[in-house]
Amino acid sequence: MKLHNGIHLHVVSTSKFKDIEISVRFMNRLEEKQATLRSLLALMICDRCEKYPTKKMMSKRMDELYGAVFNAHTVGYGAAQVLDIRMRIIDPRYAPHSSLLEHAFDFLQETLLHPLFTEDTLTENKAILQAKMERMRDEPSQYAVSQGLKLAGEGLPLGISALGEIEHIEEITLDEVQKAHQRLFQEDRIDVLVCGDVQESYLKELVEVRFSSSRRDAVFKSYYAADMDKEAKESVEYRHISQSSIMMTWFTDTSMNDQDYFALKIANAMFGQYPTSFLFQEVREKNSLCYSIYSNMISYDGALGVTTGVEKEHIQKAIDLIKQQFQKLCDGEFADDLIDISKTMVVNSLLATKDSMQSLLALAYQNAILGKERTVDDLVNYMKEVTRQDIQRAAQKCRLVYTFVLTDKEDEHEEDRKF
Amino acid sequence: MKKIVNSKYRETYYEDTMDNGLKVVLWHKPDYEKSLFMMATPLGAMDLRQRDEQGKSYEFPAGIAHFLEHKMFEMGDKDVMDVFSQLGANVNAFTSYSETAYYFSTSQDYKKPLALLLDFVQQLDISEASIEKEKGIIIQELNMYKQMSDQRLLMETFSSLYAEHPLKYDIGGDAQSVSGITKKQLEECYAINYHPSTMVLIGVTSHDPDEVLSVIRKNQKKKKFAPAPKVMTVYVDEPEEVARKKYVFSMEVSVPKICIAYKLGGISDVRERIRQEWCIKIMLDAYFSSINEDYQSWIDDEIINDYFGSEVDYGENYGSVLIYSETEKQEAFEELVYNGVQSIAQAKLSEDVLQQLKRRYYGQTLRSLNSFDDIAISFVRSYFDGSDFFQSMEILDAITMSDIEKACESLADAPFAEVIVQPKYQNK
Repeated sequence: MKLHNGIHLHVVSTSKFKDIEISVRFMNRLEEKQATLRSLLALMICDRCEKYPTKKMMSKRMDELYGAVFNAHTVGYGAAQVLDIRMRIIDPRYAPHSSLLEHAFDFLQETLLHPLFTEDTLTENKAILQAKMERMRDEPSQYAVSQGLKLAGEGLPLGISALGEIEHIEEITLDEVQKAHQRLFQEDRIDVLVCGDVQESYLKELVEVRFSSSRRDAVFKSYYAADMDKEAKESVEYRHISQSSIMMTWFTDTSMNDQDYFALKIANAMFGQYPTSFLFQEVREKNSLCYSIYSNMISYDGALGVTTGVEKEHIQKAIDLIKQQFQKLCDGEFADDLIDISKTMVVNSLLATKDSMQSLLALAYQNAILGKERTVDDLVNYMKEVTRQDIQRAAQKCRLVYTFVLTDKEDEHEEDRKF
Repeated sequence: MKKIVNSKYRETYYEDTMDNGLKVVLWHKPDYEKSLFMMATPLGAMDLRQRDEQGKSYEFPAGIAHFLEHKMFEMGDKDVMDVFSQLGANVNAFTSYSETAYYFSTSQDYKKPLALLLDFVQQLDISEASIEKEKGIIIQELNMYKQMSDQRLLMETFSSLYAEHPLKYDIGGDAQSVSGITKKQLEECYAINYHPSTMVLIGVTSHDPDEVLSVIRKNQKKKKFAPAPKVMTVYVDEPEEVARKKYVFSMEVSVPKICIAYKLGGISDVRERIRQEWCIKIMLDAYFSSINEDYQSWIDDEIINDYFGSEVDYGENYGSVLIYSETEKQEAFEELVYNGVQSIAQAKLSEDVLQQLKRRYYGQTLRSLNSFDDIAISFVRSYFDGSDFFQSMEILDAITMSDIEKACESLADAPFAEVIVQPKYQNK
């Protein structure tokens, strides 16, 4: 529902949960410098506000609301970056004589509209953002995934991290943060999503009274399928680590709104999403090369990634095996059983959407972005209709674009080693 | 079948015990599509030395419970994971220091996967060849955790605290102990720790409890088990002092991480243990968090950052308090922790803050009841502890200032260990 103030309100009304989740999402274009700035802004919004100018006051207020959860993060949705601010409160039936929902929206209003922007809060949150990014970079498997995507997605939104980049943090000024904050309400598409035992009409009132926005709707399409004329590339980086990480990226040539999207979901499930998949069975079970191996769809960017950790001497063997498994999908070398099992598993996780507040909100938001009104049952039906030919076709449209390897430093002289 | 209703949290569950001794709990969650079933044994990574009624002793290599967890998924020529997938269920398992649990969830038919869960956990079917193959997978798993700096810091902290207690080993053991595990050891360990009478099965589901129970009963009736073994875990006396006072190692991290850990004695009475844990948690949350006025200055002075945190954990024969952060200013951090722990030992706390925290924990507990995994794991743990799910919250509600004062005294002169991860190279 679009409100008078231009904000989109989505309400998932259900009484089965113990709490109420509120998610306020600001969507704008994903650009490297802006991404860092908005990432910092997310931290500052959660830190303190004019009404509660100390951390002590912030946590006291959240505890008064029975340990309310309040956090913010930035997420990439294809060509868009979404700044997502979330609040969770317990359902008022567990806290008699309180007006928890009103208090939660009051709190959101204070924190969203009047964050505490000072040189001190800026310096502090810059340091925290930097620490978060360094921590992610330190973890070899996480680094391999983000670096693999960055290299594969060079020149595309896929190559831009929604968290931002360390090198942009230092130069950010207080003035830029304030302007970025104003732009949230002037330029971004704003969606407010609420899940719990709530009435839409009442929420409409709560949101309309508290927020106003002069912004126009995002005029760009966030989902896309990356261009295909790229040569497959490979690169290696070195660190002192006991396990080597591999990240391989395919472009799928299938966007979220394509016919083949559902077939691609099934193909991915068969390839590497479940223990029954080719990757798990061949690379882990038959060859004992790894403990964990997964393929994931990066749906809004039309990409698919495989990630695993192996011994250094097994890198080439693992890469070859992974490629072979993908080729099997393209050649139609798979049993009907595997199609059925993979469909059953995908359907199973779709049905589980109904039992999770986050998943219900994610579906509502996805529908809003894609301009669809699909229910879980619609999605289940689309999955069930996928045929062997559809799967093969969706797989054949994919092309491996990048193989990134992070491995042990000892053999630095082998830098020219080819994968 | 006994029905238990908790009106405060609006939750209902049913309890029964099968003829073979298997405890069954069915937690009723109307309106949900999903069902989760978890079967668990109190065999964990700590249970390395055991003794049975006849006085026979068993000594297992570190990591055996975890190895067994991996091998349970084999049933002759069938891969258990495959069969669950065919039935539309996601199956998984975990091993902690004190239990091993197997569980599946499904939003489709629950009956066949439930029978499969019972079947695969109640039968060990392994070959020499498959054991050897599994070693490669497990060693990759250990390597994966080993290069995560948070995991390494935690492991090294426990190795610093304990000289004898099996907590000094990683849950999965190490490459050496894993390589040495034999088929005979796995079979022995299984035989004495997986009898139905020592295990619990919990279902979190919207399905009719009578119907679910009849599925379980029918499955159990078909099976015969040896008489229930009575096995206990034997612990070597652990010295009061810590094993290593200070331990520094290096990894490729950008900022040093530091953990200061206090060693406390175990508490055998379960109610007392839960109360003690709450009391110390309250003081840790009141002192080492944003509730403390000084917290902001610690951040401003870069003595701590957002990684900062604290934890308390008690068992029958161990207890520990951990305080950790990322920081370049290690001496200032040591001082901060030392002063904090001395202040906690004196239990300086206002009634207001106590009430504030009780309110927070109530909200957190309530929220955890949305999660099927949380319900199942918490239930299993409190059952093996000899407590029940809601007892912990009742104990918390009753805690007074004088309980806290009494509980925190032991911290004043507790021995402590310090562990630091240093960056291997200066980045940039």
